[in-house]
Amino acid sequence: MREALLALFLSSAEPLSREHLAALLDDDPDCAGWEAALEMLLAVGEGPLQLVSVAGGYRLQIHPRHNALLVRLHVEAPRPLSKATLETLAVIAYQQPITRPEIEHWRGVAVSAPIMQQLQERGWIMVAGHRDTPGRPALWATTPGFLAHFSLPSLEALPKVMGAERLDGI
Amino acid sequence: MQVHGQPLEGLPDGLFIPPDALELLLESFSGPLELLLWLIRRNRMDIRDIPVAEVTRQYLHYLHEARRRNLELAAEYLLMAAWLAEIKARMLLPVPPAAEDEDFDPRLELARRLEALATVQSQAEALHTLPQAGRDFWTIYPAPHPDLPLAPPLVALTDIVNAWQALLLRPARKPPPAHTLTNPRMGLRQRMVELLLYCRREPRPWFLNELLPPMADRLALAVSLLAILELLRQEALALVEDEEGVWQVAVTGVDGLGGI
Repeated sequence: MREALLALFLSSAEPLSREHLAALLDDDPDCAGWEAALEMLLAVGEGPLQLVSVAGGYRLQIHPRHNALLVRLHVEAPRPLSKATLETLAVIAYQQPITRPEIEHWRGVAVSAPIMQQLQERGWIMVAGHRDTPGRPALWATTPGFLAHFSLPSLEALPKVMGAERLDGI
Repeated sequence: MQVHGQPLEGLPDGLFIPPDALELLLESFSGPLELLLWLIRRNRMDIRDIPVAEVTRQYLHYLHEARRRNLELAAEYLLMAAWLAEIKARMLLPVPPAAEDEDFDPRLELARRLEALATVQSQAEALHTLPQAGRDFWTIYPAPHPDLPLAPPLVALTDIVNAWQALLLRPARKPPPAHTLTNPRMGLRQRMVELLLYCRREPRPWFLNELLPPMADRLALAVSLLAILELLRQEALALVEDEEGVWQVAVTGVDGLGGI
């Protein structure tokens, strides 16, 4: 069963949720006890792999004990995010769903179109809906891809920041 | 020394700006609000109780410096200066009776916006501390699947029959030439080596038609001939003449053709 789970995780490009696994495995008598096997995988991993809870599901990644080695292989680290990009992303992540004018209000400067474009291309933000006010402004939110990139199980796992609660009324 | 009932920990850093730092400094701000927040933090002021006159003075000082050095500043910076002046002016006026509740403070909106920016900054910092894929951890990536294959074209059986018949009706083609074109320069070199080895098998002169490959096409013949000529030029082979006056090719240093 452990191997069957590994096969599923290894072949999946996206984190697999418990519900998804249940839909795949529950009716199969050969897969009885998959939940126990899942807990086992979560606890101890398999070889160089560890199973982590991310973006509402589970995903295999290389155990961090190999990081020093992997850094040597993956020499081209992704370019660090600019301050403006990080701030825009932070506003959307912490205040979502949020309209563009509201993002501008939080940061005190106009929202840069290239930054929004870049965040969309990375698959981190999306239009989650429209506010039913004049102009029907788009409501921006983060995607599961955002959670996956920052290794967050859910939005609740975003680091807590002092002072945010007081400003919820804005 | 006390300020607002709090002991002053140290003097404000003052207004000294290193000569080249101003441009870099202003470039690093994404707007006037950030410059203002930076000034307030630098002076260790309280966002909720901003000494507007002092902050405005310092803010304007930066603007003047920027203008003196011909730095282009966005109009928003001037707008912020105007707002600061307005706040200060309103603080000097008596509180209008309509807004006479405790919260009234012309600085409130500014404080709110500064706090919002401060929050965003710490949230951005918090995001920055999170591990990021490809930098701090690596996931297992299955190879991406290519797009779905195109739908096969609609082909009737008669189309295949027709195609086959058309093939059968074609005139028979000549068999392709036996040689394969490779790097011709290397082909020549290889032929030279082969010829040398061939000639060394027996210590005797060789007739030209013994050395040229039988049943060869023109290219192979040409390469062989060229190889022989090149070997002759390099004096790895020599031309000899037998009794009947026929030229033959021999490996140099081979004697056995007495007297020639």
